[in-house]
Parts: sequence; C-alpha cells; structure tokens
Amino acid sequence: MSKTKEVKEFEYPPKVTFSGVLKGLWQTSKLDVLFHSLMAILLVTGLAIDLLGFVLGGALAPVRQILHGYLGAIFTIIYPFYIIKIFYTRKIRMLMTGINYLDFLLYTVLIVTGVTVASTNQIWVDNLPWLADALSSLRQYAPSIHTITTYVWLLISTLLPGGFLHGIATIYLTSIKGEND
Amino acid sequence: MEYAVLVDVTKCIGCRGCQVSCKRWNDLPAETTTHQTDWTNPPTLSYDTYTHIQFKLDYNKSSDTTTWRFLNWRCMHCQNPACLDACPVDAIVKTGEGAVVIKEDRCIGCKYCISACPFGIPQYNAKLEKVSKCHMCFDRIQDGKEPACVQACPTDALVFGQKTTIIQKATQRKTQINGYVYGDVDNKPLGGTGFIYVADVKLQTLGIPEVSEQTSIDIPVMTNSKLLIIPAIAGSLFYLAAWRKRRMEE
Repeated sequence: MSKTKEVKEFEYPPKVTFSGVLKGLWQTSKLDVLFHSLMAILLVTGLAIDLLGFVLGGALAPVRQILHGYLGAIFTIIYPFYIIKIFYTRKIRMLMTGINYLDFLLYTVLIVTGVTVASTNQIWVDNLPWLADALSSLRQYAPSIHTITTYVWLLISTLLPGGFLHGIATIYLTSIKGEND
Repeated sequence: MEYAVLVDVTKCIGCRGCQVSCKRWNDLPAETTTHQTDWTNPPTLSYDTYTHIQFKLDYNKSSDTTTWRFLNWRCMHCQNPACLDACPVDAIVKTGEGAVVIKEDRCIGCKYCISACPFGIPQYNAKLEKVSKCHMCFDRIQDGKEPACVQACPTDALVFGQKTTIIQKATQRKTQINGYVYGDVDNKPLGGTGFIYVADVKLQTLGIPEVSEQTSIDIPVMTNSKLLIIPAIAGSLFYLAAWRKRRMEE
C-alpha cells in the first residue's frame, strides 16, 4: 500500500514575515545577521548624532562611544570577512548590482575615515606608528568625508536602488504581518 | 563687548608664569614630563594643559648669534572658529566677549573639532572621552577680571583689553619694533583671532601655521550635506508608495 505524502500548499510569492526573515538569515549566515544589524545601528546612531546633536547634546556621549564607536570597531573587523564571503559566494554575486558594489566602496570610505577620526589624539594609535603615519594626511578631512559620504550613500542607494533601499524594502515587507507570524 | 589679548613675543622671558596661573585657576593637575632638548615643557598642549610656552632658539648663521624667543601658545579664539562649525552637538560656543568655549557637559568626544582646528589646539582625553582647551577665562572676564595668564605675566608680554584697543596697540608695537603682527591686522586667520601676536620676526618662522581667512571648504560642505537626506527620504517615500499601490492592485 502506497502512502501519499501530504504536501502543504505552496504560496507564491511566499509571505515574507519578520520572524521568517530573521530565522532564515540566522540559519543561512550569522555573518549576514551581524553585518546587517551593525550597519543599521551605525547608520541610525550616526544620523542621531548628526541630526539630533543640537537637541540631545551630551546625552549622545554613550551613543557615540559605545553604539557608534565600539560597535563600529566590531563592524570594521567583520567587514573584510563579509566582503570575502560576498566575492566567494556565487549565489550572492549573482544578486549583486553595480550599485551594491558602489555601496561597498562607500562603506570602505566610511570605515577608513571612521578609523581615522577614532585615531585622532588617541593613545592606542601611538603604539601603531605605521597606522598613525598612514592616517595622518587624512586626519584633517576625515570627519567631513565621513559625514558627507554617509549622506551621499543614503541618496545614491535610495534613488539608484542600492543598500539603503534594500533596507527600506526589507522593513516594509517584514512590517506586513503574515498569516504564520 | 569683544576682548582680545596681545602677545608680545619680544617681551616674553619664558618664565612660564602664565602656564602655572592657568593650571591654578582651572584647577588642572600637573603632568609628568620628560626633559626636552628644546626646553618646552610640557612639550605639547594636553587635556590638562591649556597653555604653554614654546621655547624657540634661532641661530643666525651669518652673524653666528643665537636668539631665544618664547611663544605663549594656546587657543587663538578665532572670530569664525572652525571647531565650532564642525561640532555636531553644539558643544562649542563663542561668547559675546570673544572667547571660544567648550561646554564639557555637551561634548561627546567625537573629535571633529580636533580635526577641524588648523592650529591643532583641542586636546582629547581618552579616559573621559572629552575634549578641552583654553577658554580665555571667560568666567573671569564676565566677572570684570583679565584672564589668569595675563594677570600673572610679569613683563606685560600679555596684555588684555577691548579688541579695538588691542589691535591699535599691536599696530603701534609693530611699528616700534619694525616687526610683524599675526592675528587681526596684516592677516585675519579664520576671520581674525582673539590672541594677537607681535614679534620681531615673521610668526610663521616660530611655527604658527599659515591659516586662510575662510574656514576650510569641507566644513560648510559637511554641515550642509545633511540636506541630502531630504531627497533620500522623498525617494524612500516614493518607493514605499509605489510598492503599496502595486500591492493593493495585486
């Protein structure tokens, strides 16, 4: 006697839910979760400092120090691994557009200028004279480049569909509650 | 009313009285330093040293003579401070008396001011995550007193007064010694400075940098770049509306 296997009806396009995206992303790649979470935190905290600084003032000190500073340092460390993963994973490469590569270029600029700002007048950089030398010429312009690049990236990656629009789309799609959520 | 300080390099004897009085008035701790061959001590400004005397030994090869010059060095209190424009949290203010002051309670330690200052003045403390610098004793000025460094100077190398008077004195002194002025007469770095130098040599030869009258172009571009968020938000809203419309149609 043959058993008939019940197959759940498959719905297309599938319902995208917040929990589903998170579960899937976590199961597929923890590096992806880390990269995207840190990116979102760094963007939100950076914008908060720049746009709300005149109101919040000193209250932003821990935000700048911990959420933007230390988490930024972790992002800087994992970023090369993420880039390597992107370039070595064919499936992801197939999804990438030209704007995504431009996004990566701008993230790199943000990382280099962020490290330069962090190294200004810092004790830890004294132990790395080669790094201090390498960054010294950039030091004067690093804050401006860091800030301007953020807004340029926001604009480019929204109007020409890139990283930021991909983020907005994810928030929009996951905000629509699915039946299984 | 705006005030200024005249720094007469030809009168300074390098006694460091200004350094000590600054430390005393601001209750700043002493620092462990090392002996430097150029005698400048502490060798640089720091979070706990708002002002110091730079010792400059000038050797004239043709006459085989050496001349000591002493340069009082601290914040220049610019008319249009680049540090103020660069600060994202409005922690730096320019008082009506002309002093450029860092409000430490608002400072988030982002170090944008350090990068922006062409004179390299603001100093960062990694433990406190704050930046400090000379505040021209704005609290004393508002109380009708002169800055602590000026009061302590035994040779009147530092003279405090209304800015217009100080500019006049600087011009007169320049003529007397056939010298040079740096600050608000021959050139106006960042719109002019609250500390105006007179010396018998060009101040640039003593290490004061050439600074243009305008703030570096990248700072106004940086402060205005936040306007780009408007088209970015508009674009996002457009996409959201388009997605929603398409979804409703489906």
